[in-house]
Amino acid sequence: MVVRPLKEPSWNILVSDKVLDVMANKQARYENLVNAYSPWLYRYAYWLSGEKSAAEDLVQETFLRAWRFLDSLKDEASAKSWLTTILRRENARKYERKQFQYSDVDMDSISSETKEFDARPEVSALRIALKNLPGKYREPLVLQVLEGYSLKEIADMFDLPRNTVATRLHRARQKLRSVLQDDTAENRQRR
Amino acid sequence: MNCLEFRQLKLSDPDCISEEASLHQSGCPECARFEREIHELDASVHMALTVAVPEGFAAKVLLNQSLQAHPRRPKRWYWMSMAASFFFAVVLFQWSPAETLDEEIITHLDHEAHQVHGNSGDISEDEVRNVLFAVGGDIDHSLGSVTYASICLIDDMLVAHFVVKDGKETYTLIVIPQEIDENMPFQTRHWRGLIVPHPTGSLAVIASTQTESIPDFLQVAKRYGASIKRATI
Ligand SMILES: [Zn+2]
Ligand SMILES: [Zn+2]
Repeated sequence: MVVRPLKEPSWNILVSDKVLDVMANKQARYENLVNAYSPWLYRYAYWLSGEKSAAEDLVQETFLRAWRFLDSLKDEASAKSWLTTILRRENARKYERKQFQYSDVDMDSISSETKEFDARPEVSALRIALKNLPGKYREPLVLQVLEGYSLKEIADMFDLPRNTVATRLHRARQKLRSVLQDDTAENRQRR
Repeated sequence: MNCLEFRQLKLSDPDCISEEASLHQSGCPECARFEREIHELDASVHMALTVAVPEGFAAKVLLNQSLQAHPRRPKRWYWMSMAASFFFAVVLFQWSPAETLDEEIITHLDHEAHQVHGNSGDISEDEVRNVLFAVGGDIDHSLGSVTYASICLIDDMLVAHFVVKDGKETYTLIVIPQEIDENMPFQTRHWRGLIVPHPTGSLAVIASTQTESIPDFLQVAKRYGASIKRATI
């Protein structure tokens, strides 16, 4: 029979095959979540925190927390919302700790970061515009455009009236539109 | 629906298709153009938002978790696990299904009574918390002196098993993620105890029958029950 320590051996916890089965199931479940949702969470974290390394840390912390509380996730169908909520709370906690300001991220690093992803001028113009968008406009937009969250789902997640979310999305698109229009006008002038 | 309403709708929820909206769109070429423009905008925004995920990111996340879960091992670990493998072989062999919760607990206690690591000294609050996490629990306030903490398996459920000291008294606490409807007292030759409903499911408080006086289990369950809460994310 295989006997292995469970988590911290210093607890003197001794594990039977049966417990190992339970733990193996938990591990498999966890791996599925990481594989399925880490790309989405990374992108969401990136647009929440404004930089790559902060986004990586945020997702790491989210999944460590998810591991601890995995038993409280009863239904795999709600896993994405569950993880997204954990990530939002982790970010809020971090924000409280560090008083991290989005505007602290300097624009040079943004433009060098954004250039790597996609060279098309309108896409990098949009990336900079998205970074400059206030968080309360950007966040619902990320959820709606990237992951297809409905207005109601976003409203529930933020604990806001549906109309407030609709107004924020409306403003977000208006701002981005005007940036793109300015951008095309500029390009036309240059020619 | 007028032009303003249509545009407001499309700016906040481009994929929303209502009968009113499509009716307006088919009768208003200006708004139809606007609608196409918003969809093009969203396609570009989607592209802009889809930043590249670092290579091997999922593997990195999994590695991080396993490093946190399995820190370095103490040396005395090896022989203890050898002793335990014998113990568990005995327990699993004797495992009989279809017992009630109190019977399951008694079976568990009777066998674990032979364990060598039961009196392993002061358990830190962090260790107590880590054991509680396994069953969806957390510390609300200190349990006082804890001399044993273990994640155990009762009836296919992971439970948190503690031994606590309150003055001269020693109690066994088992936090079980299974709900019960009412208090469940029980007694055997070696043990007497009480299982009560608890926010985490249920809580069993057990004492040896060797004690001088019979403890007030309801009071004890209340005191320790209040120290343990359901974990929140
Ligand atoms: Zn119109
Ligand atoms: Zn036990």
